[in-house]
Amino acid sequence: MTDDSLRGTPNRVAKMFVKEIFGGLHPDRKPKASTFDNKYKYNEMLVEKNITVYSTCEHHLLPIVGRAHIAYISNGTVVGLSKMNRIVDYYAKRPQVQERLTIQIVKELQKVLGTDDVACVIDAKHLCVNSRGIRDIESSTVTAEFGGKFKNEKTRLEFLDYIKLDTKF
Amino acid sequence: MKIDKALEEEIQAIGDDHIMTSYDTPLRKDAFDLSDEEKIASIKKDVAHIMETLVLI
Repeated sequence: MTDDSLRGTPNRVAKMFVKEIFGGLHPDRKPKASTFDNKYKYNEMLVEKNITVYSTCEHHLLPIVGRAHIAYISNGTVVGLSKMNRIVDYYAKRPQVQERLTIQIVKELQKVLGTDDVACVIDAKHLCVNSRGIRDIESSTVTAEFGGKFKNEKTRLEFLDYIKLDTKF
Repeated sequence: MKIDKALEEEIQAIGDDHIMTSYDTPLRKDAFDLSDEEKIASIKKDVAHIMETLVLI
């Protein structure tokens, strides 16, 4: 590459692949699983909603952009709130399909928290659908994984109701 | 040859239809034999090759 505008692109793209958008392939970058005792005995559902998802479709290597919503019911262990965002970000930084990303997030949190009672819903736009192929900019994809108590309809609906909350500051 | 064509069509269909084939990210056993810097150096050459093939200078 000799054009001044293009000559840095190969190195920039290679660095972006390895260190940024596919950085979550390396287990060394997995967030540390620090957990705490549930000392305040909060035994209800905890929901972390509207977590930003930036991932990459493994079929076209184009961006997936959306929101993840996570819930868990503690059985004695809790995690810091930002830990959930970090887990989403780690697994998102891989060539992905949205279903796998959703499952990987739930499995990781189940392992960290020592409970099956974890759920995740992701609503995301796939640029491989929005910007090429069918070129539909309006459609988005919703995936969900419900573990443990979230397989129960009442618990599942409670979670889905919380993520409808329109938080404004 | 016919099998190859059928296989190629199946591979394209999986990608076009965004089908997932495994819960775990499919990684090779030697995935981390190369350092990040070695991977960047290798990918850099490949990206330059893609750009050159697209007739950019």
